[in-house]
Amino acid sequence: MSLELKQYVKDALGRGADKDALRKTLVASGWAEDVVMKTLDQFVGVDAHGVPIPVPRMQAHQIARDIFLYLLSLVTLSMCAFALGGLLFELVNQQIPDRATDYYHNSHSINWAIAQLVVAFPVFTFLTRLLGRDIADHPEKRESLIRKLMIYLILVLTAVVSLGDLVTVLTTFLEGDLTLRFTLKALIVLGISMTIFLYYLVEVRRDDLLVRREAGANKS
Amino acid sequence: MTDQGNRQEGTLINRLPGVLWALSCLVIIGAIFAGLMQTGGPFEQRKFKMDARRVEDLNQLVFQIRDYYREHKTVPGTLTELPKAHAYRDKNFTLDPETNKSYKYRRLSGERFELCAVFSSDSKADRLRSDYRYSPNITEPTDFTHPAGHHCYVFRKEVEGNKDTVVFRNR
Repeated sequence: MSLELKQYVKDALGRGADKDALRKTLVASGWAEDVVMKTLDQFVGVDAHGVPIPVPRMQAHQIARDIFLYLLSLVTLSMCAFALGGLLFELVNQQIPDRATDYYHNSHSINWAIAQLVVAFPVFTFLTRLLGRDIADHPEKRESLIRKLMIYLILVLTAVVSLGDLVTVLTTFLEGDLTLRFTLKALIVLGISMTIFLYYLVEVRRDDLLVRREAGANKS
Repeated sequence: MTDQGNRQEGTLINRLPGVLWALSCLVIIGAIFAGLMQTGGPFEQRKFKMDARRVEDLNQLVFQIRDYYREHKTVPGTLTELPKAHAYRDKNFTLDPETNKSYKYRRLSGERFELCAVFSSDSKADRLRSDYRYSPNITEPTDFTHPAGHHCYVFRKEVEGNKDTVVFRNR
């Protein structure tokens, strides 16, 4: 969408349109003001032949940087999700012991999960903040392919995990094996995957809303 | 969709990521604290490991004394009488891992003896350790549950089964 807007602005500037008038027209027709401003800022002016001059940018560097940030946030998010799940499972095992399956307990799995959370969660938070600020500065990046790929990959994975979890719970229930211990673990898996799913679903909705006038009106 | 509805949706959507993040933070911090409560934390775990080492040493000593008894028909007078050949991979089981002092051994009779150690923690505090030596399973000949501090176990000879298999029990 932003690419179309950029092309439109480029054409309009090429035909000699005034930047301020262009901004008013675009905002009036439903484009968010910050998106319009950022798009207009991508052109420094027109040359002697009336061709718009784009602002010099380092595209390849930007793309590589985004891939790095999004991949790292995906990895740290997975670490957090699995470590938190493992830690909560272990706590459930402690609270509701099962004589049939608990051969031995070990503090190692708890220590390992704590260490992963302590390392990965601050990094994930930092990366998410960094990407959020980047998107506030460059709203057109909401449309970047790497961002879309990562968000939809996370949505698919968490949706599959949630569905699988529900199917497993239902099967266990039908088999008559639904214990409190199992139910709690199923709830932990569902809780973690649905939290992540919801978080990124909101990101998708925000991406959609940003190019609409209402979102621009709400932003302040 | 009305303007009003859209505005509400926009506010909710702007707030939800922060709420989810704060919620995750709370759950993660809570889980880490609960985990540390279970393990006892790094310093407690160090103590548990020292005690596990002591229990393992004492267990090995009981085996060595049993072997000595099978050969000599009496328990040794001191731990130094145990043959060095029994030391597993040159490891000496008679020394405390922390203080490097010998465990206290006392011969009570030809068939009874006492072994003592100074433990760093109560074996009940080590909740994650389901060592068979701490278990209430009475078929095991030894029970190494211990309080914190100095603790002694008295072992006596017993003949198991119809064969002349000698074991030393403290139950």
